[in-house]
Amino acid sequence: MTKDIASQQNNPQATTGRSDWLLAWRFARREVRGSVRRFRVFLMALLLGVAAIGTVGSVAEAMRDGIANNARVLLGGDIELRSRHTAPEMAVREAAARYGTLSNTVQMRAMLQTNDDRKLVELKAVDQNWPLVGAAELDETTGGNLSLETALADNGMVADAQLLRMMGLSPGDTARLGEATVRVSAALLYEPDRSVSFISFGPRVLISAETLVATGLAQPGAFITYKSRLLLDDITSAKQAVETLETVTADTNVRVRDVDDAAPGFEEFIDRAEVFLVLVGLTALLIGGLGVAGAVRAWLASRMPVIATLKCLGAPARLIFRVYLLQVMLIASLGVCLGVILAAVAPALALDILGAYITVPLTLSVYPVPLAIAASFGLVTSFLFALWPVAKAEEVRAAHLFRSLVEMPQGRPRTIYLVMTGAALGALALLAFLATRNLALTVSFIGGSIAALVLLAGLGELLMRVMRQVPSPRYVPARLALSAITRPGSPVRAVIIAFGLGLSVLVAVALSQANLSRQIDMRVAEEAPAWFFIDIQPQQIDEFLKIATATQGVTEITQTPMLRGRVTAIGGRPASDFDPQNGAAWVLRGDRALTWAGAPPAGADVIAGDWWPADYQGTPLVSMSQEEALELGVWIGDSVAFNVLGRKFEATITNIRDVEWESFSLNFVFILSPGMLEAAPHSWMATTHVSDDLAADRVEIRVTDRFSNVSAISVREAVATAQRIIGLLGSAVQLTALITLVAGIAVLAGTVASTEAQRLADSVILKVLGATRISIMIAWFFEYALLGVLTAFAATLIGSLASWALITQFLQADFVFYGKLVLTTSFAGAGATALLGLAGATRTLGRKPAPLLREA
Amino acid sequence: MPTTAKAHAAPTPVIMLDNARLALKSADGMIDILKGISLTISAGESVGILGPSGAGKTSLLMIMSGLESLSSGTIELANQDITEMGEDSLAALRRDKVGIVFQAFRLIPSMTAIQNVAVPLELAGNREAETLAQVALESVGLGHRLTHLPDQLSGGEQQRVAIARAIAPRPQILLADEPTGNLDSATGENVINTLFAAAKAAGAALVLVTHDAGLAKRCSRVLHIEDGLLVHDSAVHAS
Repeated sequence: MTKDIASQQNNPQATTGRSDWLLAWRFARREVRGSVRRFRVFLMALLLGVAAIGTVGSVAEAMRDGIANNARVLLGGDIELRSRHTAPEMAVREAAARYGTLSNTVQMRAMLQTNDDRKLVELKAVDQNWPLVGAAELDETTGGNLSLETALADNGMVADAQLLRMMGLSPGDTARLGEATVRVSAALLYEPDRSVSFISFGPRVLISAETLVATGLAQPGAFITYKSRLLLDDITSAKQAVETLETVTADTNVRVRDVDDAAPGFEEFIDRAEVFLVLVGLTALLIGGLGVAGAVRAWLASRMPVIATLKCLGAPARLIFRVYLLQVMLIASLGVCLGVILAAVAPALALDILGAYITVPLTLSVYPVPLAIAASFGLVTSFLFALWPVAKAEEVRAAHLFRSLVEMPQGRPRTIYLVMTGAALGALALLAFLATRNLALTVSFIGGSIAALVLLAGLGELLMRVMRQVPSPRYVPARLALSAITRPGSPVRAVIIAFGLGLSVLVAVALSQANLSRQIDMRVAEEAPAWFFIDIQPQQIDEFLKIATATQGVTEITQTPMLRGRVTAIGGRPASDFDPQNGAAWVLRGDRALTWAGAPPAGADVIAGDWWPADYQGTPLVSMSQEEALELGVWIGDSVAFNVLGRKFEATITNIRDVEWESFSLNFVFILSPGMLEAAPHSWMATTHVSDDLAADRVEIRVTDRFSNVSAISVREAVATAQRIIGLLGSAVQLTALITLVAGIAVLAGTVASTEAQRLADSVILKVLGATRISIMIAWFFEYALLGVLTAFAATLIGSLASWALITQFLQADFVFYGKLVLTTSFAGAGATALLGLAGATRTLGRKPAPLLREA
Repeated sequence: MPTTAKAHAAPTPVIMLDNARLALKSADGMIDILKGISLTISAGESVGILGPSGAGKTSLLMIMSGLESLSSGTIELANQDITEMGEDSLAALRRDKVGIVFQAFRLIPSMTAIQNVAVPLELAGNREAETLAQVALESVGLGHRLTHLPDQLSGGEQQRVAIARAIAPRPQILLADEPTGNLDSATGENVINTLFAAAKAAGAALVLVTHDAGLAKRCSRVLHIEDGLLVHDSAVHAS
């Protein structure tokens, strides 16, 4: 039977041992086909993590691209001049007009009234040049083929279709706007330069500049935004035009913007949301990484005989490392590719979802940078978490093959692999920095992740020790379960770390959301006024107070004068010198609401310094809010430079107030001493508390009937908007928490897989000893139920602690522990842990003992 | 005269153990597994190792394959002192000079028969690995099973693939640990015939650990191990 093969081996071309990557690749390719099945959950965790990070980045890029591509449309031209309260001076407009065509618009809030209804609207008055870029779209079914010019002529107005429906208005109907009667021409379908934002205080109403004059709404001091848009004749003159206009407007209240800054607030929102969501995605990926480690360890445990055989046949250690690392990375690449594909198509899906909340145009395209970052995160995480198990695989002793005692080596891997681990961690930190572009945040995230892991690991260890003290139950399945939980190498720590983290986030979110909603509802019930009345003219305030006071059911009225101004320097430092990431940078960013008072306003909590005398008439003094003063590094004695409607002055901080921003009172960062602002055009703002809904309706009707220029903002509607946003944010966070939970499931699956061999051996022996499948299953159910309870306990503790810290320390509000909510959330998650674990474990139960005993 | 020279040439020793001792750590302290074994095995010899369970037979085989290091004494394989050799050098020595056949076959389940046999040749960088693997498989009568995976082969066929893998690199030493332990007697007989023929064709020394005295008797030399000591060597006894 045996032939002599010696003669055919005369030219073996044997070289010395070859462990190059090519050979490793050849071996890896042969083996990997059968391994993909074992990595399904690992693939799922990786896919989700990469898809989450890539989707967030792609959607953010799509938004930024959308803004950049539509910058001229969003800005309404090439350059915008914007001012509050007063229109840009004629000299400024003339300077602008030299570079091209100018269009002027005026925006403000106003009350649109019919005989039996009134609504707060966002009013926009436009000239005949508007819009310079793009075109407004009118609903042809309601407005026929009207041109905008015709639609707005002769006190015509166009408005959001929903507003018209709600007020029962059709083309040809009339309504009152200020002192004018306006005629509805058509519904407005699209407004090219509508600003991009999540919130609006009312639906849009568009009228002509001439109609605005007729309404009499543009009163001095009213909260009006004037915008002049410039469409350049020669686009190459943009830079020069901006420079000229900045020079001309240097000492005025006019701000100049160009297309590079088309939606500044929203772009900042995109940046922040992206950073937050990327970090959540990264958390999911890191938790999934624990699953990767578990799955790789379990998979390698099953490959130990093959590894030992390869070593027996002469494979050097580093070849083993390369063969198995290549396989893991090959499988990881598959998960990463699927995740990247999902992330690449996500902006198209997001279009529908986000379209309901924002008006930002999304540019559908494939964005390689965020996808590359997401893919790198996936690959580096896989490498990081697979490294140790794979490095230990090369230490498998071939000698064990002779004794059928092949097992995973324990302990730390060789130094070279520790160095590689450090390098992978560094790469991950670098990627986190690239994704967030924020060093402090990256460091905080990494520090926070390590701290959370240490906390959970410590809790896991503590629970293990406590469980070891529990006396062994008499009931055998319960005894088996307890011993499985407390034995060396038990999965308790891994499951508590990974599953517990996801569950903790969910508990913290649910509890915080419940507390926030309670806070708002409570404050609305106890403290909130029914209405904010704005744009009350100084000559109207006394009559306003008379009307409000005389209205039955009005229990409290507060009023304050208000105008807007800019802070140009604080504590001697120009506003532009402050870090935009500063917690109080918003104070310096745009126009701020300012007021003045002789005596301290009711409820003012002065915590440092003294209030000025009520009849003070000296150099300007200012009272500042504590939180913002601390953030900006100023205190009593420091100066604040203001620019109010082009007039510059400095005031000295004389006292510091503790301001409760989350209350519904009229709060200001700065309150000036009398004598400085009274002469400037200003308006009054007032709040009214009422005893019931009827009183609320009464005071609104009386005030707006008497003063057509005064707008009433319903606190109830504002609260509903706030609740909607809290709900939206809560849903986003819950969704991301769910992603971390799915990653936790990967860990659980990895843990179940890693104990499969042990479980199989146990079940075989138990069956031989006469245990039925039901009794073994009951034992395993107890084990996973116990694991679930321990995880729920850890999640309840950490989630509640995190929520308590957020509510009491960060939001400085009262914390209420909703036991039922927390326990429901925790134990639903724990139940899932138990069922998933049991489902995974029972797969081994169907195996018959005889063949396995023969193998042994 | 070449033929005369061949007839009188002394056999080449390929395994030399001198006072080989092996002690392993256990929960109860150090346990002496091999207690000073000295022996020489030459090329072309077939040696059967007999002994009760726990006598040290498998440990002796592991020493001879360089998979276990001696606690004291020396060992030479294929004229190389491996007593102090590093793990990767030992792996290279096994790859080139030592073929091993296990009781449980130890084929790589994800590789076909020909890929399994080619592994040691590929590790040695042999560019004709697949051709030589095919020749080796044909030599054990499995030329028609080249692309079958292990679980598509019978136990006897799997063990013959393992033998082909062991002889493919033309080793000087062929070690077999209970090679028929997992097979029925007819299949076992077939496999043993293949093993002896393959060792003879390769000119390798065959060392066979077995419980089967009948099987051991087919070897040119029989060693009895008891309690870590070589208590009987038929070659010594015969001389």
